[in-house]
Amino acid sequence: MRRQSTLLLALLWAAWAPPALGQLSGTLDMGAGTYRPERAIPGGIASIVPALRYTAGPLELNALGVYSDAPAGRWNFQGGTEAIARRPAFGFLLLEASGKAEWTSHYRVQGTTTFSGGVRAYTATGSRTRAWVGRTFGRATALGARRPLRRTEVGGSAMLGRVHLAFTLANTTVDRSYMLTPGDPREPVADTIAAYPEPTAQNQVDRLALTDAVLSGRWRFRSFDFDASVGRRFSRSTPETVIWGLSVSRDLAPTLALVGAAGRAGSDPVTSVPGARYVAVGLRLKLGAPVAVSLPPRPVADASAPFRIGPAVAAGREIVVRATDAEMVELAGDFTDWKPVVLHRWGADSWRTLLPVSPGLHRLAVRIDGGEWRAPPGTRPVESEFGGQVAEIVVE
Amino acid sequence: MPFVRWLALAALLALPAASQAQDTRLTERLDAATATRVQQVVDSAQAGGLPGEPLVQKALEGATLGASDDRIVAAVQSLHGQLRRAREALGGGASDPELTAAAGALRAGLEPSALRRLQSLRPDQPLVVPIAVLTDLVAEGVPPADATRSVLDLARDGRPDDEFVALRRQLQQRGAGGEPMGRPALRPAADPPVDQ
Repeated sequence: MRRQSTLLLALLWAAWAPPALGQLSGTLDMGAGTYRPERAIPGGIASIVPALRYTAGPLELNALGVYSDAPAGRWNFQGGTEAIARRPAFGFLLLEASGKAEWTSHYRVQGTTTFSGGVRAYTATGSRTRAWVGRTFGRATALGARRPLRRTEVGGSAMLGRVHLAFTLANTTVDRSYMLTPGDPREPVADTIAAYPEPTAQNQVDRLALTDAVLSGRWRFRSFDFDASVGRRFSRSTPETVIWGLSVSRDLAPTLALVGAAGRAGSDPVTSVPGARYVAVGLRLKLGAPVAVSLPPRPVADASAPFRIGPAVAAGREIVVRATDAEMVELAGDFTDWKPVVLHRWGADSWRTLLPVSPGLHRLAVRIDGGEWRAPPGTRPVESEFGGQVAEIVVE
Repeated sequence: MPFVRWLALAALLALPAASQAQDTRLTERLDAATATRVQQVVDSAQAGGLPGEPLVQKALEGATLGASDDRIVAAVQSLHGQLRRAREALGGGASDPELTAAAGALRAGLEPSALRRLQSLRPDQPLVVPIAVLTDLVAEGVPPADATRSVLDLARDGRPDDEFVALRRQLQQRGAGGEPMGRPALRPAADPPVDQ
């Protein structure tokens, strides 16, 4: 109870914190389609999905609701709020703490609630690849019982051209309690004593463990956005399931898009809500700027960045490239007239030089041990017309 | 006869001047024919009021990356066209670095109208950093309309350059976005819980 109160206070603080020049954005999806839930009757369904995102500095708040209406007055609602606080990069790590509250409501059936909170650590090198590890604790209430949950996840993502790929491996453990009464089929009848149990009911706890592996991709092509995911659930105590989802949206106007989606959603072992297959089409209204703009703290020099250009001094700017196990590192760019400049070893795995670099946009590349010219580590590579990749950087 | 002598002298004096007109960086790094072809594009650009330096740098980049002569000339010609479009978008008052940045933005798929709007919102401030950040966001997969809107919002509020850079960094940290709370689009709400 105390943990829930703390979490609730954190969420309230997050919601009422001074919104210093934050920005609100959101979407409203409205659609209809077919729905085939596990252990229930399939049919047509209409859904309304409002979603809001608010960002202010290192703080991000999300809220989402899904209201679905099926024939014969059966309706379901799923809602959730999430607060995320990110601290500025600590070395090459970005730390993130989050708290989440989710709930469901249903026609004539008691719903579920879940409160959870956790931390994540990301690599924040500014490159197109990143990795993270996270740990979450929480408690769900479903079917009249409280269920402690723990989740550990590791993941990684990368930009391959214009495709954003991500992989997540999440291990969830949840304790589900039930009352064991005499004659319950779950009770093993292995000996005489078990065959003649005590007449009183006993509270028993099942520990359910499962691992979800999910690969997802996101691709923007002209005015189309494609999202796809495929995953598999591994568990000794629940049937292994393949889950997948595919959605396509096409911009019709700056604030309006056509959306189509299909997929198979897995059941939630924490709250026992069943999975389902679905196909739906609809419209999406966009509210506010989708890209959050806020006032993060002024960037500070990151001494551990794999590539950096320092402030201008009389002798030029210090340029440092981290290259482990290299024997020679060269740099060329528009500020050297694309003549290769050999860097000097500096410390265990870094290379350094001083060059005059004017503020503005610059193109450059590095070559390690006489190999291919490429974008320095930690920068965003751009395709060169001449093959290979270089970097475009803004020097302040 | 004196006239012929004067003419010969003038020709001798003009010869070094003509060779000086060719950028020595090109002649040092490219073969003579390619350097001449690149120089012609540079001269044409400068005659039209466009900067020649980005074109020289493009050729030198190609030389360093080991590109073929034809590919170098084609890249320089292509950049010339982009600079011309950038000039059309930003007008005669744009600086050379701004034109270079704008050429990159157009190559990334941004509309000239976005650059004009940005220029109207920052009439007395350099546009290089906002344009570079805008290009970067689009290259990172942010839809051009969304990226433009975010950058224009900052420009409208008169924010300094480092906040544009901060915006880009913030997006890099956040990843490529996605559905709110990771939920797939239009997935219906789940049915009631089932005791298993």
